[in-house]
Amino acid sequence: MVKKSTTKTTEPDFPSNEILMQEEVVLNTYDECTDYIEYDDTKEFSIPEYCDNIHVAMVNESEDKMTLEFDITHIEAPIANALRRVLIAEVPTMALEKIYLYQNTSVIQDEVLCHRLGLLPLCVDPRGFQFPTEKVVGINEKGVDCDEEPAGDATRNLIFKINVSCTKNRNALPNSTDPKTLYHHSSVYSGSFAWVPIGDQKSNYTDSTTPRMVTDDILVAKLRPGQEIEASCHAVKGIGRDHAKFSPVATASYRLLPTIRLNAEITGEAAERLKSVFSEGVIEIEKKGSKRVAVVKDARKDTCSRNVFRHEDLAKVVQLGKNKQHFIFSVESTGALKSSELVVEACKVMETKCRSLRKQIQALIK
Amino acid sequence: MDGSATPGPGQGHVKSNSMIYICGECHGENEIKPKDAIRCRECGYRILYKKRCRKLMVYDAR
Amino acid sequence: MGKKSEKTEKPVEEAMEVEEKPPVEPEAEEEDLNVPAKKKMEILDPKSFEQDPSNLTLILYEEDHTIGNSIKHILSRMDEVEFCGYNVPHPLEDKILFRVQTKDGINALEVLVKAFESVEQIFSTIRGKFEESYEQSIS
Repeated sequence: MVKKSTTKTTEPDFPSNEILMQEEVVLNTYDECTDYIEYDDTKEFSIPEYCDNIHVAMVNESEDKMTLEFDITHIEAPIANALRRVLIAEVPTMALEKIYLYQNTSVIQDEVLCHRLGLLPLCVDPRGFQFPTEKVVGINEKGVDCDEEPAGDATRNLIFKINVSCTKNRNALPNSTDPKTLYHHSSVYSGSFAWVPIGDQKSNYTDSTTPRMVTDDILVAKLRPGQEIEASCHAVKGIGRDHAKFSPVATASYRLLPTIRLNAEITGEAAERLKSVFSEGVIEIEKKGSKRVAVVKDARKDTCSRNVFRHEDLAKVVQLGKNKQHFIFSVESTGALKSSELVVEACKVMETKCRSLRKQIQALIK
Repeated sequence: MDGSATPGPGQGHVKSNSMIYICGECHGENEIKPKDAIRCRECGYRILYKKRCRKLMVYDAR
Repeated sequence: MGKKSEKTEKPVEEAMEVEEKPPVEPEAEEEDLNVPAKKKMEILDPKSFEQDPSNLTLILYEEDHTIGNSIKHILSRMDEVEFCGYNVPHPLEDKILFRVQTKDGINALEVLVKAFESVEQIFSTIRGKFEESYEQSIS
């Protein structure tokens, strides 16, 4: 905990729940309630009240439901950050883990190809699967993991097969140079993967939910005639902490809601300049009587570039800040789950984590 | 050569002593028997490569 | 604090989840022969904790700032806590050290249990409010 300095600098009054952004420095970044000893804590901290104050609002969602923007207010940075970290690293997904390579005569090396395959996003709901067992895989006397491909567990694995070989296209025009016309399958895309159900896995899925790659046009490798790739890939459930391929989000991030205060009325040419200095839609010009006055329309659109401080006269009247308790989350899913489902799963993961740790501590108490 | 290293599969297979090699230039397949001239049938290139074996390789996609 | 209101919703969950292990943990019972049981947490210097249960240093394995910072944030606002903090001793080792010092006579472990309950409640609230708000927005 940090002792707040008693000698306050002569700053214009600003709310304590705001970060103050100046030209060269950012002030008031601490959380008052937890980081200052002198915080007025006469009111007892009550969790139900804290929870009641939390407010969640949707901002917008993309057409395909893969990107979601929403607000959470009246929480602090550690809670928001925990949610963000869990979204990135602890929500499980399915990804290809073991590649059984029968044939790879392409110019891409085996291990490089397998690394690329692991990073392909799968469009499968991971909630229907269990985590893999931690079986210690022994090495047999020949020095390989196994002689033949294992059948795969229906509750833990998914099998995708790929079998592509490149051949010359007899019907190509003699003077064409484009490999796509000269050869068949000169480029191997993720659409070449075929799902092979294990046991009765097929009954779990409908036509629209069959396991597949998220997008079919991810380039995996390039081939020339005579080269082929034949592999059987087993997917397992994992979390981003283990390997980045298991992360369900392209990224999950948050920013604080910017606040812009105009300490004086800005009119005329200065108002036009102020409008141009900020991003579009932040400042609007309104007519007040005969004057054209600058008004803060939508601070949310501000990108906090602090560009206004480059103009000395405008810098004196504008006060920029960020609301420390208002988080604007942006969640972009890779395709396995919708962004809204991901947020719910993240909260569940966090709850499960707390629950299990709490039970273990309670066991320690006894 | 493959016959001696690994035990043969259940069904019998024809033990042919000719192997398929890949030409270094035109990448065409050539069947070469012992005492045959080492030369590509299609383009006459004299450097031939052995085909990759069909052994199962297991990789961790990491 | 948060305990009373929580107890009403807990029994339903507890009944279903008594033996449930969180999915992240491996099924240790099967693997006991090959793999030693994974320690999830231990008290650093248990003897001094026995002598004075208001000071506690707890090592949590396979945890990081996600849990550390949020628990610390809640702990520091609780009345009974005099001091709390966490750190990651080394970035290459997957563990955190939690330090809790409570007022005289209060068991630090129990305060820590309360903090975990509170964080669980907060995230449960966030989830509920998010689902509500999402339902509203699509309708």
